[in-house]
Amino acid sequence: MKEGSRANALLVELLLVIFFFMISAAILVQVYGDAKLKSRTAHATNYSMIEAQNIAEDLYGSDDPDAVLAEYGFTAEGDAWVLQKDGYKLQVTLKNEETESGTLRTYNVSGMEKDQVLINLPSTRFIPKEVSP
Amino acid sequence: MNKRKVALGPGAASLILIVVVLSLCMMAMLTQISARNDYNLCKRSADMVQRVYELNAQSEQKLAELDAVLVSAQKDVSGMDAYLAKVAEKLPEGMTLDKDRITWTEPLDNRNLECIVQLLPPGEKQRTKWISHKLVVDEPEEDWEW
Repeated sequence: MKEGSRANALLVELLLVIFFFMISAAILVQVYGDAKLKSRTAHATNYSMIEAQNIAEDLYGSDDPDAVLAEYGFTAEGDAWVLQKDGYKLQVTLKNEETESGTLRTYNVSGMEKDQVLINLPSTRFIPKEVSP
Repeated sequence: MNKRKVALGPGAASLILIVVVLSLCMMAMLTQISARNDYNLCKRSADMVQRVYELNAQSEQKLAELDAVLVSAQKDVSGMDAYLAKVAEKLPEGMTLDKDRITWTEPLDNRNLECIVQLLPPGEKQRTKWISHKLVVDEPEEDWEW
């Protein structure tokens, strides 16, 4: 084989190799990106779950929930209390339901990533009222 | 003048490409599997925690329901025995009265939230007192043998 035609064949092969490598790289970057996204969501779910549990338990045992939420760093936004964390957001809403014999107080502690709800923990406590027999 | 020699033989670049792409594919696959497993584990864990909290909320709702019964039973009764008899008549569904204790269960798959409250004598500020509020896990039966 002449030296010139050998070099040409090598050049064509290299071009083909680069072309296929680019295609493979494009596909693999997508796969890595997807994995990274899933990993981020898993991280947010895990941490928001731990935080939400702590907050729900604190709220259950507290008589002054506003102070508890302020201590955690929550800020009031309309009807909800919101705390922005690294990669996720915690939101607390209160619902009071009056019953015949007391109040059913429910705090919904939610962990959210953008608009997706990762976890929603209802912390409900029944507070009986004094009724004269 | 010396001619430069081409160091790369024909097919070598293709071989390197195959090795590199296969390695990258393998790593991408492992990364993807690992990320997916982490995600599924976190999701399952979060779902279970959420359901347990929902059970707790249900038990508190049942307690509110029971408390309403206790308030109505307290009217025009004197003495613990008459009070307990009246409570037994009006007891909400799913609850059982044993002496001065009321028991009920909130089921969830292979778990049960067992709730026990003690009835306090009529006229006191509080009508009930939590005795037990625990999640019991039933181990699944083994359907295989060594």
